[in-house]
Amino acid sequence: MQQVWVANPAVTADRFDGEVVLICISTGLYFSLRGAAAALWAALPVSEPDILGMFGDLPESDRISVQSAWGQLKEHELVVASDGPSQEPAKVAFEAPVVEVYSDLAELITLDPVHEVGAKGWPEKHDP
Amino acid sequence: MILDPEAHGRTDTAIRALLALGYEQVEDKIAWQSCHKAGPASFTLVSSHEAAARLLTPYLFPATAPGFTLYLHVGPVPAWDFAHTSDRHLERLHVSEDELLTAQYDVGTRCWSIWEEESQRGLLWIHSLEDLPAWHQTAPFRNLIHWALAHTSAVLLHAGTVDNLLLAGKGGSGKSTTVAACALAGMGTCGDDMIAVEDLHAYPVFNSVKLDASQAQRLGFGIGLQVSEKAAYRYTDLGMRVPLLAEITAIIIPIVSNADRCSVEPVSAAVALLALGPSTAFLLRGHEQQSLEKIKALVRAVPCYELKLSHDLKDVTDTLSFLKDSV
Repeated sequence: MQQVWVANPAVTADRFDGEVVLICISTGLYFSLRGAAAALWAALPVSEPDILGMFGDLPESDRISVQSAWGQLKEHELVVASDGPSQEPAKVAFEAPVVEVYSDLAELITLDPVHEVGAKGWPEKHDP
Repeated sequence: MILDPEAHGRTDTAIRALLALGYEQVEDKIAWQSCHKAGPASFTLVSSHEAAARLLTPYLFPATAPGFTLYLHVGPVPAWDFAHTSDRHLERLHVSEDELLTAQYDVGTRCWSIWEEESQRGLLWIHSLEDLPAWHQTAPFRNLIHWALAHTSAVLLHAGTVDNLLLAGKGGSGKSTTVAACALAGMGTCGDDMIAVEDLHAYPVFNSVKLDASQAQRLGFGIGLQVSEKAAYRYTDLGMRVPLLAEITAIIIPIVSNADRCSVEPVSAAVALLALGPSTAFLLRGHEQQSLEKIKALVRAVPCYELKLSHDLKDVTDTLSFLKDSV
């Protein structure tokens, strides 16, 4: 079965005209997707081989930019692999993809500095 | 994400027992009762520790309606010792599967905040007043108020207001200085850092403005309460006008610049969400999805502008004064 990629349920997303804003509650990162990157988000759930086809024939540099944007969505775990059905993405006009990653507020999220989760569960105490 | 619902439920039970113990400790020896505003809501504070209540209430506004109940207890605090059943436990945050019980244990200050939605009661259990960081004084019961509002149509926001304008932006964006300068010029404010919003109206929650030393000096303020690297003042002590509520007609995103004159540009709702959503959701933990849904509705409902602040405070107040009348 072909692997299908879906939006990570831990990420809150909202679409405004051509821009998608993503906020990851657990990591403190947030994102702005525009152009082909926003189109990729709109195409979810999608299988990877269908991604490039949704923009029609593209010159090599544009293909690379789409692959790079898709790679960023995967790298930041904004999309996750799933077993569910995919949808064939509608054809859309290509606009250069933009993935803006904001990490300036991540420090607001304070994880416990003393304990870490171990194999035995919680808590496994470490010397501070 | 809840990893083991059964074990997670056992933690609910343990936290409810902790809550019952806290209530019992307070009710056995009530030394303080007072009513305060929590944005559009209000609450009754009940404490067994008068000194703690005296420390934590000066920056709250008085209320007449009793509203929900918050218990304040000071004494040896049971540490967090639960099975790891949720990724949120890394933050020492526990939210029951039905989201009606919310609790957080602050390791640094050894302090529990617990909110029980069904009974409309919450508990702040502090180990000792000496361990309490100063921000607790200027924004007391912040988590509990946030959780109490989460199940209503209101939301606690990391934002300020100047009359009918909501100012959004992360720390250091110029919100506090702008609010203080405008309030000194006679405009009303519901707050510079934390406000409540419901149905496109802003409500004050905390009677405090925090400024760094240079900004406080620039505005002619005296010595305030030291909170981290800032000094805190009460709006009402400074003679500033704090309305009961203010209709929001626009969102302003201030940006510090060294320009001679302020400049204003319309921006998209997406830009406003980026300014308001993450800083609220990452600061006020638990029930973030509810907060973000309310923020998304807000940024779609009113026009949004980016305001590049000039170094001239008179120009800043004139610009805000013009904007409040024209949007």
